[in-house]
Amino acid sequence: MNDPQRVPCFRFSGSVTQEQRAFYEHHGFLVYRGVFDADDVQVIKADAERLEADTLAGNIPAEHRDKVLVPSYDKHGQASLHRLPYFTMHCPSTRELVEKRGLDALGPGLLGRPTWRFEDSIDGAVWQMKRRKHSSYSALDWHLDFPHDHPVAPLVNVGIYLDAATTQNGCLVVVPGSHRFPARRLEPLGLPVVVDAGDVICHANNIFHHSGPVLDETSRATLYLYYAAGQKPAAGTTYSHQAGEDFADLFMETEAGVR
Amino acid sequence: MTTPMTSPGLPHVEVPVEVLRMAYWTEGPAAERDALLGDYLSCLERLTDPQLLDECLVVGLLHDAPEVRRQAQTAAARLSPELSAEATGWTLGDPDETVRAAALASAVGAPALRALLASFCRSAELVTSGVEGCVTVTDAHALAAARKLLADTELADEVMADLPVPLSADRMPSRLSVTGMRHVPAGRLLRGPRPDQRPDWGDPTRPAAAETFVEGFYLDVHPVTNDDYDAFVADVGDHGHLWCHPDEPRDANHTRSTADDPRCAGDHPATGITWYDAVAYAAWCGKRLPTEDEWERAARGDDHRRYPWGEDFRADQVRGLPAVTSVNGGADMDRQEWLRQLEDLRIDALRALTGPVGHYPENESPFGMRDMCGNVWEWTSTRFLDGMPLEPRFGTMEPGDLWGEWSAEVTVRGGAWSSPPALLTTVSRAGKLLVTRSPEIGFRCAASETEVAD
Repeated sequence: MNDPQRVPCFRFSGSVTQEQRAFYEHHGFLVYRGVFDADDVQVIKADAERLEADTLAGNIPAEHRDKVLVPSYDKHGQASLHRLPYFTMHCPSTRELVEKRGLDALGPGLLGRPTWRFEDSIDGAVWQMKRRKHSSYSALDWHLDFPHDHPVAPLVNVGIYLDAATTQNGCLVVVPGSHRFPARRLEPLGLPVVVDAGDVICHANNIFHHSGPVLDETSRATLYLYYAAGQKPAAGTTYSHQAGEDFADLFMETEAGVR
Repeated sequence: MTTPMTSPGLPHVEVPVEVLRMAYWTEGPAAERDALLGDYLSCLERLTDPQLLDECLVVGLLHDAPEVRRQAQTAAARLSPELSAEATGWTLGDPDETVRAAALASAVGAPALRALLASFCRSAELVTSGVEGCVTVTDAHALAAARKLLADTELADEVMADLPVPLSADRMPSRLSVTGMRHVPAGRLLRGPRPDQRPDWGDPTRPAAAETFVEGFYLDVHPVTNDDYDAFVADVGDHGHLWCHPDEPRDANHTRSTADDPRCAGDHPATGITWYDAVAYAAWCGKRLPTEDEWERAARGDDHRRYPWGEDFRADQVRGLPAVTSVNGGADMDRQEWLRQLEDLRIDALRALTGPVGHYPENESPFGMRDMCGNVWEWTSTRFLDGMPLEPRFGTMEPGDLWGEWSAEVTVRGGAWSSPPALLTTVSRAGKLLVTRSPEIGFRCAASETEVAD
């Protein structure tokens, strides 16, 4: 019994309940079970396959291609991408699906104020693929997405899981409550958040989190939406991860997956 | 060439340079070591002051090099019989088996015998049976020596009775007794309310894993009482902190914070104690805290009932807020109304908080546990947020720094004298910091089937 047993899993019915918001504010994250069914997941996966092919074929504008993660290559030299920014801009089926399932209610519901969704700036919605071990990207070190004083903050990161995330394939690991209290432990204890395909994890912009290395031969994809209540930048404003990493480095020196 | 020895209480003596050279030699060619060792042993032969001789022998007996320890042991047997007996005791515990083997030959004195027997176990029967960890030749030699010495019944009895005081509770005979406990057979547990049970605001959200299997165990019929707990505190005073959780600050005061409150009588559940206190008490009586799953299974039975006695709330069978105040505590009291009632509540002004354990005859679970709901919330051994075992490592942190630390929150179950009906159920749960002392939190103890069988 290594997986978390009693982490509450909520149901999303189009709006955020008082109980859900209280949990989110207290712990800085929230899991919604079964928001998307198997057909929904397939719609997003099909969009991802097409967008990846279009990107590799050079059919996507350069400013909309990923500059954060380098591709992986198989033994035949075939490239595969780990990150597709501006996903909903280029995938109308997914955008419609997200809106149809009512996810735009998550931002205002969890933050208690109007929000806007990343679409045409700061990389927009981002599809991310962690591929099996030996690929160029299978883990991410401890970090914050955005520090609390970032102009776009506060914001909610909404991860739509397109494959199951387990402790074996490097699921999200959060330090609950770390968005409210500064880290006091040299080695914070993380909570692995294990979910199935179709589940949604919401987490605060400044919660400490990482995802461990993929230990098996599986790959898993997630589509991240961002609902921000801070300032909305001009279209085309670029994304920077650096602020969050710099902040996390003040507290931690070890690498994810090693602790 | 000699060096003055200036230890307090010793006359002014000179430590030979051969001894100092041996003492400071740490590594190098074996030939170099053997040369120094030869000089050291020759030097020992020349010493006439018995105190200085013993000091110089100790240099060899505690040396880092096994060969030096071995030779020093042989020299001690010849030059200083009194020290030799003591040294044999040390040497029998030497991590280097070649040193141990050499010491076995001279394991004759009472101190050595004590050490030899203590290195096995406290029971002569177990020593004789040879079942305890014998895997090498030296082990077998040691066992043979122990058996030989045990053949002298009179001496063996004397030595057994005189074995060193245990250093930790692990070396004390277990106090575990299932008197006052009930057995809960292994079985399935559906966590949280059954789908057909009407949801209430005090119910928990559906957990990540809704079902589990709980192994068989024993659980106290009643929460631990103040009288029982105070006996533990007194025993800590007599024997020291032998049962504390290793993460607990050294010499922590286990006295309950309600000890001076006359309303908390001896037969009431113990309150005002931290999770660490509860863990230490449980260890004191050879038990442990129940996991949250064990607690829930014991309270709900095979039919996963909402209350220990059945499906409907009974205000006359549970010590909750209505029982200690004049509040009209219908089962429909909502959260806001309850919080408003607590806002006006002055604990100092209440005539009573907790009540005697076992007071309500029908507040009994299917497996025979009483007071599972009401009277006091009960500590478990489970971390609140994820339901995993609590393994605290906060020893160097100030209690105040634990606020906001998710992994320091422990699940408490069952509701207390201050709880409304919605929380006086077998499914409600809450998280409390493990250093919390509250007049609303107590505990009961559990034991695994295997622990009882042992």
